[in-house]
Amino acid sequence: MAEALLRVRHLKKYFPIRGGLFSREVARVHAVDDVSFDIQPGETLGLVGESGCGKSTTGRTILRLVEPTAGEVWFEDRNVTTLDKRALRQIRKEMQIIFQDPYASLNPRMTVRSIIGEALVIHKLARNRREREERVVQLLETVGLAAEHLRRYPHEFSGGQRQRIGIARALAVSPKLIVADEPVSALDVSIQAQIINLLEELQQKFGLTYLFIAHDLSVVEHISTRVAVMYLGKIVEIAPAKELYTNPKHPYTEALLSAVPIPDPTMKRRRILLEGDVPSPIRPPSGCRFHTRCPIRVPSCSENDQVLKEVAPGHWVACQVRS
Amino acid sequence: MAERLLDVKDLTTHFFTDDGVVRAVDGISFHIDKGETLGVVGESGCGKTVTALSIMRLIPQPPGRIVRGRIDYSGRDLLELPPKEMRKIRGKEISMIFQEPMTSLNPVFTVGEQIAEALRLHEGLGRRDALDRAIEMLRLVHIPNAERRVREYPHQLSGGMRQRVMIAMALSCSPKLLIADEPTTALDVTIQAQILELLNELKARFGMAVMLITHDMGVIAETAQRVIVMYAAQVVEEASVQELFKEPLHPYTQGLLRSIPRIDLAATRKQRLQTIPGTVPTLRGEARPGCRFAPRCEFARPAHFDNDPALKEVRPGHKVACFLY
Repeated sequence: MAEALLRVRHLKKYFPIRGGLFSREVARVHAVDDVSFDIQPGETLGLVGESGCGKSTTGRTILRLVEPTAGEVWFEDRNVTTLDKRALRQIRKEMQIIFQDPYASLNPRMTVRSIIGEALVIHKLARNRREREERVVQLLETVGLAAEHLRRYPHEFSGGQRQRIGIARALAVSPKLIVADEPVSALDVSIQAQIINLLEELQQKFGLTYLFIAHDLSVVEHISTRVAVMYLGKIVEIAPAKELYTNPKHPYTEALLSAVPIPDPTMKRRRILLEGDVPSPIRPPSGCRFHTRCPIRVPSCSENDQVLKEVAPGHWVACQVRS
Repeated sequence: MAERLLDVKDLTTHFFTDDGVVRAVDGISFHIDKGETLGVVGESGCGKTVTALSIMRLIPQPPGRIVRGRIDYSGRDLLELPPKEMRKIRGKEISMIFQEPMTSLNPVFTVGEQIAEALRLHEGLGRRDALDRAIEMLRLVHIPNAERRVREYPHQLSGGMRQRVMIAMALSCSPKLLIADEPTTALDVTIQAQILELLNELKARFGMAVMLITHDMGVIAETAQRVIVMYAAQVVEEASVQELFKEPLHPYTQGLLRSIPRIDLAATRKQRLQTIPGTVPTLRGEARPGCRFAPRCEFARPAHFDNDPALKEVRPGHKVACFLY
């Protein structure tokens, strides 16, 4: 087995809620609660779950855009969680992020030239202005834009084009890993397909590895090699994409998949409707976190913490009933 | 033969802004039959929401204005009604739910007061009776502990609950038509499934018609009987849901259907997504002649840039606005 590019071990992120006279910590949001996984070089790991499940926080904690509460993140042979500021800046050259909202993640006062060129300046990746300019144009062309866009500002572009700029910015430092946090959720379907295809082409061309975070299960299925499903801060199932979608084991994964509307009116499916809403991550349920909504729960589910167990090669599930 | 409930003819709504005229809806015609669900599908900015707001006569004026067309509803043209008459229809005969329930609920009133308001206004109920009916409506949309929830404020409810409250409010006066504008877009997929199920259940129970606006082809396939596809402020195709998905005629509809990743085909094939090149044209400024999809269309010929294609019926119940047919 190849050496993993990224190894995440027992990652936790609790956000304190402060209140009272001295702003003491009165409670904690358990955003990410003991998450572990590996990403192999060249693969795409999809991370899916509903809003508030901790998938975005997981992505940001890996890059240390958010400081982890506990746990380790290993990028190749370096422990990202213990790096000092200087070393962290170095490693960010190898790990980049693309955000959901291309409107909010591009500085409105900067031209495309400076947005993409900034990273080249910071990491001293170009010897002079001309070389930098050439590289920026090359990056623009790589993502399907052109040199004529250099002097324009973000507001002059459509949503899809802005996402292309965000991708070009991430590519500027030639990273190995890109965390793509809901990169197509804000886009219309016809544009969404263009961006998904672009990400796939770039992966082929540059041998990129992706952590692809999204709530849209069809998009994740399309792009991912393996998929991890998160619920209330924990991974409940992880498996090769095809296996997960054809043979889901966790009752939450099943419900999630059955809830996706299928664009084919002749297809009639059995839908598993979950009761109620996702519980609060401030006071997550005891035992298995899904037990309050689970259609197949048994009494002991509210007592026993669930750990991931391998039920088939590479297919891990955290459910005592199904494993 | 199905009975017509609403007949929209040549509806044209423009916005007169400082930067020029925005032709948000440009001469569209369609109808809704009693008790059916009409899906309206299209990408952002294609005029779906403005169409709905025009029917409700809720276009902010200025800058907006309905410049042409008629909307026939039980023998009357809604566009000709005086504001007082329109108020009797809005919320009673035709009601609407929106994408973001938090912004359409009033944060300083309890959900009970908000549901009761419509009942007192339209049905002339007293305070007590209206509140009792509000509790009944909350039960109908499956909100647990309705007696307690009726006294709560919108911020105390989850997104899914808020959308249920919106639905309860919209249905409180048993409307004949419910316009649902992206009712599940802001919701997670498991909550979306709950809300769609609820809408289907209530539709069957009240026998009302639904105009469901969405960009999600999956939602259309599972809820609508008939569909209109909008592109750049116009209707480009109209068909029964079965026909539309089996044999889409307009190149835009075809492209749209091919560009969606399909979860149900996961195991059988895996291929590159097909895309529609380019982007949606701007609706601002001078109206240019020619098919609006032509710049992105693989079948476009020079002549298609000169004239507007008309929406014509090429098969029973299947209309398309394209020179290829």
